[in-house]
Amino acid sequence: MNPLYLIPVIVLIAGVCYMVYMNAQHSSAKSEINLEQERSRYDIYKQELLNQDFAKLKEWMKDKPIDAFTGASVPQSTSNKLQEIVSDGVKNIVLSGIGLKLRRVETDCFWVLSGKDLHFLSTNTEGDLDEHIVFDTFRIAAASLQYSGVLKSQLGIYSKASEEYLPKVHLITFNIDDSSLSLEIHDRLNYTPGPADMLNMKKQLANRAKYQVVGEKLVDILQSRFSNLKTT
Amino acid sequence: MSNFFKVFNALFKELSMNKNGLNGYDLDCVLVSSMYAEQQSAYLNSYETGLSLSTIKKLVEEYWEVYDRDDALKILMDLLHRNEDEYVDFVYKALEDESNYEAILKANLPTDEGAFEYYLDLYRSLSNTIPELIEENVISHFSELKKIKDSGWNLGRAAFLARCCFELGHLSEEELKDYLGKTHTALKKYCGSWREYTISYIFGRSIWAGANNGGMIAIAETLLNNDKSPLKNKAL
Repeated sequence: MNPLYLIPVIVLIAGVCYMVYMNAQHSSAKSEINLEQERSRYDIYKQELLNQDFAKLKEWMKDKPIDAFTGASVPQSTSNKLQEIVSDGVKNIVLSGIGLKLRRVETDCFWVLSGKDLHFLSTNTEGDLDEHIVFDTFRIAAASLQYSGVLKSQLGIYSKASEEYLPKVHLITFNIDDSSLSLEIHDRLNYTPGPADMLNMKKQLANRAKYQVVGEKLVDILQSRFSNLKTT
Repeated sequence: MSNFFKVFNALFKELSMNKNGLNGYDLDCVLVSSMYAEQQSAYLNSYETGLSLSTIKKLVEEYWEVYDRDDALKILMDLLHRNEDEYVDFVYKALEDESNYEAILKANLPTDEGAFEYYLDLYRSLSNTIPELIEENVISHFSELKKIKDSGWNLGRAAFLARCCFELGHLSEEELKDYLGKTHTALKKYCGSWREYTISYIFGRSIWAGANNGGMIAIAETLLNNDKSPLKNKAL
């Protein structure tokens, strides 16, 4: 028998072994992380992320305090609606202004809570600040919040195993001159492992926990400042 | 003429000067209209604008909805006194004290919903505009706007609109002279120099039209620095 026929078999066996090894690594690393314990380190993690991975947020917020921050996105339904409003002309000038800034946001976005203002920051493909929209305390006091489950990606297909790493979102709906504008607040910051961490499952999971602990706090703090945003 | 060509002409054409221009105090008064005049490529130094009657009519009727003397007097009085609104001062105070803006606005603005919303919208417009002006190097800090506000924009438009109304016969020359004197006196309450006047004009326009003030900034620079400009090195 030609030994070349053995190559696919060897590759298959190696692949299965690698999967078993990574699953074992994943389970072992996961069992070492106690999310409750991690939550008690919120303040430390928040400062750490602001000083390192998300240092740009401080620059973009200039001198304004950052009380909490997390990931954000524009739901497809809002994008479509804004597109229509912008194409229709200026029936609602303020919403059209915001719409021009939000209609094509597919890159990383953030919410930053500063005092009683919510800042929506979108980035461009280079990761630099693209748009900065402030929703002031009067807009938030007239807004509503509802839990909306796992982030519905445009692709929409994820395995059950990876679902736990997808953000869960709250939908915040603002009233902009009698038109509604809904945006998503993620329960974590978006984490993409760097090439150096691809094989280091322990580090990946530790970072994911950190990103979640910091991100999920924003809604808690927001609700403590605005009773109208409390959800049952 | 499209806005593009107006700005283009303002940037690259010679400044429009009437050979029989005014001097002294009368010139000072007419210069309150200089930003708007330069935008329209109109004379900077006379009561007459040098624009065709059809252009003036279009500007006054289409953009300002002024069709007769009563319309003219109403809008001119409104523009002349627009910066005297005491509630606007509280909006500026709120902008200055960002951490307490909610309390300042709630405590000092009229409570009926429509009026409160009006000033809240102004607060929001100013909050958006000020960082843009800093980015465009028009100002370096909000404090530069606190006194001048958008007085240059209101009074500058008022003065130029009055010149147009004079040419359409809605105002007499005496009335125009008197009105321009009032705009000049009012401007001096807010601005200490022609530079401040141009900043204030750009500020007001950006509240109304948003960012991208490149054309206006260039017009201001021309008026302040061009050797032939009557504003250059002139005290307000």
